[in-house]
Amino acid sequence: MSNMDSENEEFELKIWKGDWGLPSVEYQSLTALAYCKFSSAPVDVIKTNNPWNSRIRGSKETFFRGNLTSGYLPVLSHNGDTANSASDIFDMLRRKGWGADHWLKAKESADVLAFTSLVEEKLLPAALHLWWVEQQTFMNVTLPWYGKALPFPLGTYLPRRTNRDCINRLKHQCGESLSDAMRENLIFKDAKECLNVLSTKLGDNEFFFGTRPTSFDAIVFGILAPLLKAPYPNTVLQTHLNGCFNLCSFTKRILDYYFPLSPEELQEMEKEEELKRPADPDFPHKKRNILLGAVVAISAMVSYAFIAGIIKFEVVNDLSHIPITTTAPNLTQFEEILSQPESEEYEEKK
Amino acid sequence: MSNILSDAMMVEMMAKIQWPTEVKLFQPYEVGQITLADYASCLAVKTFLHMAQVKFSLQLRTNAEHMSPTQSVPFIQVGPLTLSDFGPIVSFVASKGSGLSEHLEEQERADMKAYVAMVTSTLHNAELYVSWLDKETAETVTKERYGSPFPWPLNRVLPWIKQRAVRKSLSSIGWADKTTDQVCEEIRTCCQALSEKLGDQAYFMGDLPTELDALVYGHLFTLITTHLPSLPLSQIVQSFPNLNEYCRRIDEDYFHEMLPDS
Repeated sequence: MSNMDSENEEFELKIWKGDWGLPSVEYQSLTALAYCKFSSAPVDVIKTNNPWNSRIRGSKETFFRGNLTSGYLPVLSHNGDTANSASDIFDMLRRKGWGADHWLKAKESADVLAFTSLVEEKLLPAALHLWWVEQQTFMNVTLPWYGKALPFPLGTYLPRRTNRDCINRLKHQCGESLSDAMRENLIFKDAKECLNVLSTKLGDNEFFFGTRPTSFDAIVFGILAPLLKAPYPNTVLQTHLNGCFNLCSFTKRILDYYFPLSPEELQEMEKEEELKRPADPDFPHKKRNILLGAVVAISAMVSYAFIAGIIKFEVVNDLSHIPITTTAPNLTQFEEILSQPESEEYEEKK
Repeated sequence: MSNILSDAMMVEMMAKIQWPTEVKLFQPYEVGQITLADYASCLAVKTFLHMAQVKFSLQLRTNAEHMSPTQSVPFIQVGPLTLSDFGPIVSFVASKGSGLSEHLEEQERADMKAYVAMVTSTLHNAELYVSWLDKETAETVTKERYGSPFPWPLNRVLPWIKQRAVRKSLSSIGWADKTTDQVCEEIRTCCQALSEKLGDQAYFMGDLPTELDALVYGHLFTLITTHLPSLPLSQIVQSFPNLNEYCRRIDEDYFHEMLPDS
């Protein structure tokens, strides 16, 4: 095969599918996707969710050793050459001439390396903790999501193994001797500090190293985008991130510019929202309930009035008592009637 | 809840301590016992205390690791407080007004924190890997040194337990699967970045030393002066002339010792 042929062929990137308006829910997939967009490499994106098909054949990371955060997806393949995990994908694209960092000066490249370490050391643990370790999120969001996304037997097993692996990883990064609550405290404290540092570093720039995106922007985007969009029950970090305005707008800018939602996706989101609306716990049948309430209230008032005797119904059998004419009775007649018994009584007394 | 309480207690205890006060630094014996990674961490903390002009007394204990609140050396004792690891010690000294990074702009401090994270995550893990997972080094050097203060069955069992713990912890971040060559490459990349950052300045953040300098010196000096049977670690660092010169200068300024010619 000639070199020209190989250059024309497209890269193939397999990632986890997206949700909540994100192109993918998992940080490495997001990072790889963003890097491909930044370097404008010709990439065919396949949203697969099956780790069995997407694992790299012959790689050291076998199916039984990987977990949902590393080992399976994302996978970039090109002419039989494959790369797994975000950093390997960066390397592979760089080797094939599609790097996004080549314009950086040597000193800036060193900064990219240093800040990447900072994010992986301080911010990533919090992202992993929120998504994989925290019990409430894991049971209510993560497990159901992967249960739906993964094919049957894997969905029951892989998320739990990833949960265990992530706990080990956090223990390594924070020290074994801490209790769970202390570790959580430390992780969030570090993450908030890291967000502040990133916010300072970004300043008013469009991207972290000027007007063009780098691999570091891809990494930060991969971690921040799920933090902004995913429905975590624990909002400690989200609240802090919302306070760092420049980081929020940085993430939204990349989402809007590089990953605009296609019309089909927009339709799907609307459909989902409509499906969700009846299940909205607040006021699902507002009009019907108001009507029912009004009916019940009115009937209660009327029946009370009836029982208490405020309203009386008289059943009159004598049809002759019903006045047929609607004309007012003559006043002189009344006077006559009124005066008659008086005079009779008067006469009797006499 | 207990966290907030213990945090608050820590802050109160820190605030109560009169400064300057007597600081004791605990570490294992350097001659026959200490391992590569621990030596680097201890040297980094000692350099930091020297740079911050905090007077301290060195306490050598064979069981320093087991005395430490986080099972890692070195740790310092200040009044009723024990603090271990580089980060907490640096922030404690800074809270007493003797920190080294007060003069920095916010942007510079952000840079410094990033480089501190890079040195800790790359060089520290690399040292752990080299001393415990590189087969030849672990068997011939590390295990023997680590077990040396203990009597017979313990001098076999404790190093073995420690090795297992290190392997587990490194495999959780994917380092256990790396080959020795890959680890050397990581060290080289890190040194390359440090060399670019240093350029021809006196210290990393300009004319004055910061905690980053203490940390970098601790790790690089250790790598330069340690001669391992199978690995060319010192050559890697020495291939960057400005880093080499930098280590020599800090050593002269703060420790009055000359680097052994190698």
